Amino acid sequence: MTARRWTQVFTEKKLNRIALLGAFSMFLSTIEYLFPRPIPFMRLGLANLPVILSLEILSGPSYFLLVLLKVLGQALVNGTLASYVFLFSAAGSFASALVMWLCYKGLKKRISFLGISVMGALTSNMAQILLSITFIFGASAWRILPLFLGIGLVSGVFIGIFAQRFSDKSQWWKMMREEADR
Amino acid sequence: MKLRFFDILALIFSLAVFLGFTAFGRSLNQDDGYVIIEDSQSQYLYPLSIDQMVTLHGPVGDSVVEIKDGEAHFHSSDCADGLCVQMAPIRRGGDWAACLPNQVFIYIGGFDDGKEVDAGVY
Repeated sequence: MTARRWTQVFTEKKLNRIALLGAFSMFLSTIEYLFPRPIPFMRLGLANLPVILSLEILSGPSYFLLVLLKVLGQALVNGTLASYVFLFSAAGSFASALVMWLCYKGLKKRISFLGISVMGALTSNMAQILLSITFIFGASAWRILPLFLGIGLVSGVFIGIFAQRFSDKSQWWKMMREEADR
Repeated sequence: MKLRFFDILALIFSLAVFLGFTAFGRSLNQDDGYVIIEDSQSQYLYPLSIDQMVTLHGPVGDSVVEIKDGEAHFHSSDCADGLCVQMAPIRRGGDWAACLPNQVFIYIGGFDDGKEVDAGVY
């Protein structure tokens, strides 16, 4: 792909928007870092909030660029950039981003952010646990899976509800959406 | 905010996966204890389900812990009195045995089987 086409995909306006959402994501990672974590790659998923919302205003390539930013920002905040945790987190994030994207594009009005968020949490946890079973902890990791899934389900529900309400109520977000359509 | 059809489906699906793996995890947990071995340097974890001999190097020599038939005990030790070798095999959560001269401590961690009563009252 030539340089010219890249600039067509990522216009300045789009890049600004991605950068803003990426910064939100990083900020929320910092907030999330305040919560204690019994297992290194267990997260509440606050940093996913901008990613979920961005489904409404970003195209495919921009969306996945934001996911990459989110993973990098999260790794910087948590200090896991140079460890295996980063690979797990990246795999989980991209898998769940893909599923959420498919849910949003495929089901449109028949699903809200609640369902999308829950599916994303499920996918992320499954991907990370399957990786840790395969590469690190072996079969004993099956035992922590229910814990992950349970926490993921609850936090997924709350983040989904918040995202939906935010998307419904926020004037600023409404403006972002209208601008994105233009 | 209104729940849409696929929201409910997603919730049910997630819940089903969660419950499924919870049940699966429980079935795994049943007869799978582990023994924690601490020596002067470090801590090791061994499953009770795999029979093996573990040799530990301490200040006075080697201590050998044997794991067999879901139990662990000191098979031999280079300590002077050999009290640890005479201790009963450990197998239930909370059981322990130790070789003090050689600074080795072994105990069973993690699972309460609930299969046995620890005392009978008539």
